[in-house]
Amino acid sequence: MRISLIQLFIICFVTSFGVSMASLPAAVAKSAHEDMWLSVLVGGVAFLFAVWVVTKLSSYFPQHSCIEYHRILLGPILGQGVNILLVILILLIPIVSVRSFVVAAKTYLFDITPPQVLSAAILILLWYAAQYGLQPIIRFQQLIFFSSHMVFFLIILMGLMAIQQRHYLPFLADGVLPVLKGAIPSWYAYTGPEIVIGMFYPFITRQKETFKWAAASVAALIVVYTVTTVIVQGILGPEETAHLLSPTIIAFRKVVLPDTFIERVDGYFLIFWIPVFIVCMLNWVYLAAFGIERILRLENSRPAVALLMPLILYFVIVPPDYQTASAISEWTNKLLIAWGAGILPLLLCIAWWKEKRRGAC
Amino acid sequence: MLMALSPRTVILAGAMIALALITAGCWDRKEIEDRGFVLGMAIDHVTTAGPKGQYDLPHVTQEAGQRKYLITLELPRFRKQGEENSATGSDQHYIFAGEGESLYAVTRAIDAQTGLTLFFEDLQVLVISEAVAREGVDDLLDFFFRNAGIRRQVRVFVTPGRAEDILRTKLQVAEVNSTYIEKISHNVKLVPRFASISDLGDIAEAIQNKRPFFMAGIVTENGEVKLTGVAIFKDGKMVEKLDEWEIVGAKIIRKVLKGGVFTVANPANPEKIAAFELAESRIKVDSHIQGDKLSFSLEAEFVGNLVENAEIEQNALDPAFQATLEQALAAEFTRQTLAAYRKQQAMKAEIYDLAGLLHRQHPAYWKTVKSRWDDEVFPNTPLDVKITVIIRRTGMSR
Repeated sequence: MRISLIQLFIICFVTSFGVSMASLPAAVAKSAHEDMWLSVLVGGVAFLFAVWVVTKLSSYFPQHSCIEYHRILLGPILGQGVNILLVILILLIPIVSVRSFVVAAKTYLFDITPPQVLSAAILILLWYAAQYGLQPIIRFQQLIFFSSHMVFFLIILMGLMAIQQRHYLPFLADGVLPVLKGAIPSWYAYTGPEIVIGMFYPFITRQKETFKWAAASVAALIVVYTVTTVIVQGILGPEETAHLLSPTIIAFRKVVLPDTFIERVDGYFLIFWIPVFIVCMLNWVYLAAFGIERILRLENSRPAVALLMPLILYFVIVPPDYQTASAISEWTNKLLIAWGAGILPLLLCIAWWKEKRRGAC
Repeated sequence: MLMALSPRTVILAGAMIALALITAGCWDRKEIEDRGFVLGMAIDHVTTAGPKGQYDLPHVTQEAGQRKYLITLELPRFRKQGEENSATGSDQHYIFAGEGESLYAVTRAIDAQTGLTLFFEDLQVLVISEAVAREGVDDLLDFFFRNAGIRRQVRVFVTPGRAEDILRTKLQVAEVNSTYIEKISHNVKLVPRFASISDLGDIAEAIQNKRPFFMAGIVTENGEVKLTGVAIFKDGKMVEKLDEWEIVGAKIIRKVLKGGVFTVANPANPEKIAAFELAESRIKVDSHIQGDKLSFSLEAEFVGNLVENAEIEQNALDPAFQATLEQALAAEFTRQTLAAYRKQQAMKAEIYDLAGLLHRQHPAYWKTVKSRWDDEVFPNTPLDVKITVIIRRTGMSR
């Protein structure tokens, strides 16, 4: 199983894109107001640090995934504990994301279908697609990346027709502090490459170029997320964006191309969001299953995939209301920041120290 | 034959059938003829709170709230293939109505009466009666902002009479009233005295920013509708109206005056008129702070053509005549601008986005005056207007 650098670029991009498309603008607007787009940009640049750390850390163990080197660095018990925490953290992302996607799909596309059925349908599809290992997943991603992500981005750009310039000013009226505060929730939108690199590093063909290609992927994400936020801000304004639960969808419902066969852009936005989201979730499910496979030293990840599905379905359904789901999402973001900006640098320090000691001996 | 298949094949086939059922989305199947496409909605106060008819059909029972609003919905009447089309508007639509306080409860009750599933995605116009508007609309509009099916491009109007009349009236054209109104709303750019159209999105943003907002006026008479006047809302309640003269000034301050025909007395013979068609406009509004004093400036350049000159002896190409005419037009534009500005100052509600302009240009100063803006600061802030008019062409004759 080998991953080329272009495949790495696509995996990193696809894993992040779609996790919090609908709610990202609202999360940053609450803190940064007119500078909300800048928060998304700053959040992406800050996230590059986590990508650099995980690449550097993985380069100490070119033949091992993070599940193995956690045990090497922290010992079998603590290392395994960190691995279990990591798998739980990875699992939280499809749980939170499928939940919010199903709510959006039910609201705008399938108003009668019970959410359990929508969740189950998504998970059955993911179960089927994830059970044959990484290679078919990568092929599927390449197909969707060129057929759906590109079109989806063009649809996003159509939003530029409905923006109003006045929504972007004043610039930095309250200084940089609100911008930095707004960058915190945007971390969640970028999450993915730091896990992908940790898990799949041994399979990357030209490992020395990993950071360059992963950073390029994050840069592409920064562009797409910033453009999306700029458009939502330009259509709704910061106050309205902060007030709405899914501002991205509401904003694109205001974009129309009158007297053309396209007419309303939001329908296409939702249609192309489905494959984009599915392929994103596919990665997360496989990452969790791969983690379990390595923790339990299984032959392959198929049993883990099958076991995860009912578990994910249960936790997608169990939050009773929006507030609970939102609180879980916020905690997941905090844990991801703790992982990317706290635990990973700590592990890098330990790896560097151990390497230094070995060199001294 | 089934016995010949292995259990694995049977399970696989069963799973595929189940998957086909799930992924085909049959759960939400709805035939198009069963959908009730709501194109127009009108909100009035109920005329009498008592029962109407033996069974009181319009009444919607609610646990809380009163029999306060009459909600009228306009749905298109679809024809079967080969069925003859009617020449008048009244045969183009169905009208359904219900009475209650909760708009959602009323629409659900109408749902149950029609046998159709009401579908609001294509809602074109919302008409509110002036009586309802003066009482306050922000609580009423919550239904529209919360509803996932309703788009933010829905055009919102206020009418001095009964809002239901706008939807019920027999139009001369063979079209559903709501779609006809939506179509004519595109032509407001051609007539400067017709109000700009505001939609639900504009109003939602203003309510969220706690700013005054406006809705275009609409009236009906003799099978025709006209978009005229503007209703100004402050704190969610309609407080005042702008007439057609003040609308021109309001459009200049809002930088949206892009076209239209304007007449002035002919400088050579005041008994006759000269008409100017605006083709291009460049408008710049700025805020200035000197010490503690705030002022606004408006500079505009209107370029257009002389399209009519009732004084036929006059040489329209005479530079002196053109200069005098340009000055007269500029003076008229200035007068209308200041009239609209002073009216807003008097009503202490500003819809020109001057508050937003100040916020964008002087955010620190804005913070100090934000809480006093409508009642104290704006009514005492001067506006300096400088408008120039350029007549580029005079048509095909001198």
